[in-house]
Amino acid sequence: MKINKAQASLEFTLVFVITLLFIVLTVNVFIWLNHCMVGRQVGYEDTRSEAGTPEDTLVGKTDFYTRPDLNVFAPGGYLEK
Amino acid sequence: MKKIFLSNQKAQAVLELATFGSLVLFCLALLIHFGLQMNYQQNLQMQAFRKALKMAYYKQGPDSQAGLAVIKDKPVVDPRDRWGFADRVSVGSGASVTWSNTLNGVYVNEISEDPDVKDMPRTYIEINKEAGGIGLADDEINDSIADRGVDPQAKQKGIFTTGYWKKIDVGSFPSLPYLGIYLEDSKHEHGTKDYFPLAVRPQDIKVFQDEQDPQQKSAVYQYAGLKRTLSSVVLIPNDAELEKFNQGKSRPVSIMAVKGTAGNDCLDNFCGTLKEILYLDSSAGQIDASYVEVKPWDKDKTLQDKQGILMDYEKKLDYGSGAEITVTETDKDISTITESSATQTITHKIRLNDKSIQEVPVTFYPNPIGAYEVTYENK
Repeated sequence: MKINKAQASLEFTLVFVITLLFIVLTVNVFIWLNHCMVGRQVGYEDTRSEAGTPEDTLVGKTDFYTRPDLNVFAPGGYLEK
Repeated sequence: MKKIFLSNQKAQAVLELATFGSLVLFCLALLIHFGLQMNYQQNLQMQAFRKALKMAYYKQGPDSQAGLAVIKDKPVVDPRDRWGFADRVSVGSGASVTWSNTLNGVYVNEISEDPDVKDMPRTYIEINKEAGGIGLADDEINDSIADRGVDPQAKQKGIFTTGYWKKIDVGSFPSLPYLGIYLEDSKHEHGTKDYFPLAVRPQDIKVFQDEQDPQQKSAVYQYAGLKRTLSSVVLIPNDAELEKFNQGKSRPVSIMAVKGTAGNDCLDNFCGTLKEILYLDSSAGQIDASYVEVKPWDKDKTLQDKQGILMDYEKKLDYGSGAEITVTETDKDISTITESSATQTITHKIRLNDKSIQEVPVTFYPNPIGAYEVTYENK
């Protein structure tokens, strides 16, 4: 098979774009994971007083954080609700 | 000499891609693995504390303490599995909350009234509750929890006692020549409180009635003109135990109630000498709490006898018939549905005080949404 001179450049361009895209999407996953941990911590701290209030509806509040759905194509890995 | 180095062979690029590409994918998957695991761990830690807080609140009383241990096996991407199966990683957390205004150990005022089993200290264990393991349902953590007896049904709900009450008649207990008590040493050279052990005869201990609460009676040892309320003592039935106590190796029991010789006819708050002691034996519960915590220095030894949730659990993976692909073809499109019948059975173990093992096996099935459907246009 005859190899054209520009074939390597073409392959490189294609693979380079795909690799970059792959890295960006993976980074988005990490940003999402990080956001979940920070958001959960903030939600937990914000509801400390409520959770310690001796009332049936407030004591031990556990629904202090809702994780956003992962969307690797969105900047930051998630869409704000 | 034969050349063995790689020259510009045709498959070189493919080889490099296969080697480094798989390495990169492995590293990325490993990072996601730990990222997810940390998320699950953080969430469980927070949820466990809040749940223990709620339990302690609903118990409502001087003994309103709740100790909770939670284990969940969560599916996390595993780059080591050649079939890409989401292995389940065990994440666990524990919390202990005391919600009380009266933090002394005495909570039964009348010694004639035997404590109920619901008054005993308990620990709650939750293992893969959502998947059919053990644990209290969220709507069960309410007032009824205080009335729940400790029976086989309670064990299936993950409720275990960590102590049980015992009563001794001091007067008619000749094998109990001494009681070991701890006196506060306020003259410590560093200004901090310290305690020193002292073996005393039971008849030297007096019983006084609280003026504010006539029902409340305290065992008091008059020593050097000071009244010292006893909340924990060491029962010393023989010389060997006395020697052990003097060496600081004894394990005290918590006093729940005391009774003097004068009974309820107390004069000037003095109810006579010690007659009966109602105490809490922390080694007599379904789980001996002293074995729950493993100290670094006796780790190897204690692990053999550890009670509560054991560290070694069994994990069994069954790939089943593998992935099944169902293809449906119409004039317009071709649809494929990929389903897996792989299951994973994880068995956690709880060792009880009677040395028996309570196993909590849970089988995880593929999630229904794990059936992937792909549709192609049929040209």
